[in-house]
Amino acid sequence: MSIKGLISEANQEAVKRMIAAHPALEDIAPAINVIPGMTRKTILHAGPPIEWDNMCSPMKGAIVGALLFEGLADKPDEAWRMAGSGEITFSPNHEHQAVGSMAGVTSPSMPVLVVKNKVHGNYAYQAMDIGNFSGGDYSDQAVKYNMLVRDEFAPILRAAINEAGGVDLKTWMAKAFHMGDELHNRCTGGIALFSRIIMPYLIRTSFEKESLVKVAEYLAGGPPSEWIGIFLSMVSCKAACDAARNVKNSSIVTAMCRNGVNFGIRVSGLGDQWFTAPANTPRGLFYPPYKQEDANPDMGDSAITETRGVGGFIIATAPAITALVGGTARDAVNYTLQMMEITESRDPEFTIPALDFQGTPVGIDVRKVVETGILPIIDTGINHKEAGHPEIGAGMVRPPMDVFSQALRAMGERFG
Amino acid sequence: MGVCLLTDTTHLMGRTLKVINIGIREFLVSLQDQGVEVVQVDWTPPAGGDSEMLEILDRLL
Repeated sequence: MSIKGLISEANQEAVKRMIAAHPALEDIAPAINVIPGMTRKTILHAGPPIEWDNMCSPMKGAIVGALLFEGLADKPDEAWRMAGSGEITFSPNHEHQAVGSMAGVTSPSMPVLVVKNKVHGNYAYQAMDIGNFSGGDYSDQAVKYNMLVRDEFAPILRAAINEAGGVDLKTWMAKAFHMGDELHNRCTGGIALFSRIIMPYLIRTSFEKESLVKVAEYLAGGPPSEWIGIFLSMVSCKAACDAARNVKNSSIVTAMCRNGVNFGIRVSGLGDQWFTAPANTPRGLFYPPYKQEDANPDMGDSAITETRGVGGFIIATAPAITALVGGTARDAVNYTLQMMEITESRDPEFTIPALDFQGTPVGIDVRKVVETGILPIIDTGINHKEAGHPEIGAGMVRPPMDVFSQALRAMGERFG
Repeated sequence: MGVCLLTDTTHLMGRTLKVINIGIREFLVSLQDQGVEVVQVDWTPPAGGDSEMLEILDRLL
């Protein structure tokens, strides 16, 4: 078979696995109990590999918050010293079957969503960091809220998930897309759906009423509940994309992620190799008093949603999101149509009513990105460039072309 | 000069011209300014004309 034939066959296989994957929420557990390679002094982060000295301010702040949360340091200055001392091992979430939102810090005792891909058997994990560590907030309030999630919310949610026998996340995603979500920055329908699914099982648990009320309120609305939607989406997409890894000869992207300094991708046929380049800064709409000049370069593992063909790729199904990220409903349709130029296939189970139920474009091919010059579109939250702020806005961003050129060059070398 | 040429061509063709502009947008703007109906096709050279990338794409795509 020709080289082109080998690659084509491999890409079809990689995308077939991605589409066929069936993520299900099985459990919530402490990270150290389930995440491969996690230790008492390991902290995972969003994006490709990066050393402490090179990390951006919000990521450093998030790590400081995590060290305080874990009790490894009692005060912030002690945590800063420890983080820079070499005593803590930093590693990308992606290298441990995990993903994390914004700074994406995952620490040993953080509760993580445990998702199993029921078709291929692989697991994926997402930390329930909603104390605002994600923006580098290491205040007392942020640390205490994450402790509340770990010590009170997570055990109750866990009991409800076990009572339900797990939650089918693939069906959940498909329904959310038909409710106007793209499951990256807009998860409103998905959160309502998840609450509806889990509520009867929450009530059946043996926890006292006041605790159940707190968890129900958390799910029912308010800023913390918005995070559960993106968490469920990201970890589902990670489970699907990991199933497509290591298909020999494939040029399909299996990870896109950012650490606030660099953008990184991994490609199915190129194994564990990272391709990185300086990240661009998202442009969009900002919550007052924040402005464009406050924005940090692109950050987070949430681009796993676009890698899976949702988020910015399925944005035609979520016109309401333009009120958050800017642009028009027509722009949203055009983004999805444009992504069809750089992808291998359409997902028959994640369909777009506004496009006569066409499947979302899925399977980013590095060859097509370089050939057309069309970069993947990502709609994303935006962090402040200094630690200690909540998310300051949302907008659109594209990766640097260099990561795809590097990957194509590596494929060229692979085939001599 | 451009307007005169277009007028002559229109008389020659016996009908109003509809134009497809491929690539450089300045031509699009110029035609629109003259009230000409024109469709823009966004086209760029493959791989931005990068010869190294083109060589690899030739083998792999």
